[in-house]
Amino acid sequence: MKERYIKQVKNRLLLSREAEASVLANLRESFASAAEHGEGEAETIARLGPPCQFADEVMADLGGESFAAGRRQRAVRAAVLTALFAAALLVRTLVGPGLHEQGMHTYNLRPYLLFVAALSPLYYGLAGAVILALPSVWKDLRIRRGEVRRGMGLLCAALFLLLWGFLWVYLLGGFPTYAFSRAATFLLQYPVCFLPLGAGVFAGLNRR
Amino acid sequence: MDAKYIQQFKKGSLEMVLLCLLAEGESYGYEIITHLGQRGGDIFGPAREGTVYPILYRLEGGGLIQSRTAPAAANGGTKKYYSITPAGRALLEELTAYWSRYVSCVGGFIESAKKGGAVK
Repeated sequence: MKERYIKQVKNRLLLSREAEASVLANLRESFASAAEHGEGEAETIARLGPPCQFADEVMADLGGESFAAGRRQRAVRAAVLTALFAAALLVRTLVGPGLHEQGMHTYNLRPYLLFVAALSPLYYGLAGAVILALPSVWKDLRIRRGEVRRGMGLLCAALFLLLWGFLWVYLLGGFPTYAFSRAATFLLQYPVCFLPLGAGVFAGLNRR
Repeated sequence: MDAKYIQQFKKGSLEMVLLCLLAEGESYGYEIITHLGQRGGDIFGPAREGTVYPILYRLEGGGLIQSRTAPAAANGGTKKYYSITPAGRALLEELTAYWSRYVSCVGGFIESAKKGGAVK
């Protein structure tokens, strides 16, 4: 019960890492001290109030200062990861074997690059880092969830449905043009493309 | 009375009250909240962690109080003990002096309104 409460508070908090750690440590200590004085977990939770309310109170009191610090941290982290990812892509493009040397043609460019990306551990590492950064970015966006969240969710939902519909039309024999068939092949080869969109739909439309 | 006026009063004075409590001696979160509830519950309402911890965090960030972590004998965890710093004590002295002048000034207005029959 206690752990669930703390987790719910943590999910709701939008503070700098230090402030969040301090608030959660204090919360844990509160439970421990209350237990020491003979107070049960249910009693403590009743005194603390609902997790959302607790987190909102703390955030209202710590104000924008702590959030701004957190936003700066997340922005720096996201910028560093993006720069690393871009640098890796650039290096790979500059020093990688030329397409003509590989006997590749222009229309094979995209599958070729994706194939290289799929095999390179560097890309795996960096893609992982970017994926790890996404929750931070998302957390940052949540501060304006009223405006952004719903918009993002709807956008992702629309894209998801569009891609899904497109794929089915292709599978049923539609879209004979070359460009569409290449895109559909890409989607079939890399269904993982649907995952971020699915996550976007879930996170965007899932109201807490 | 409209709760927002009470909130304004509390917001302005709670930091000073917490500094006063810590000036009396080192204390930890739960104890501070308990004391606050026992001694000021009628005025401040039930003391809540969600209100007190951010203030402690802010005071600590401002160098007005300091903390140390010590093992809690009863549950095997740790407790964070807060104490006032010299800077906090100096500020508290300034704040209490100001508070006396503030009460006297506001009291003057109230007395004047009472004499004029505007307030019972």
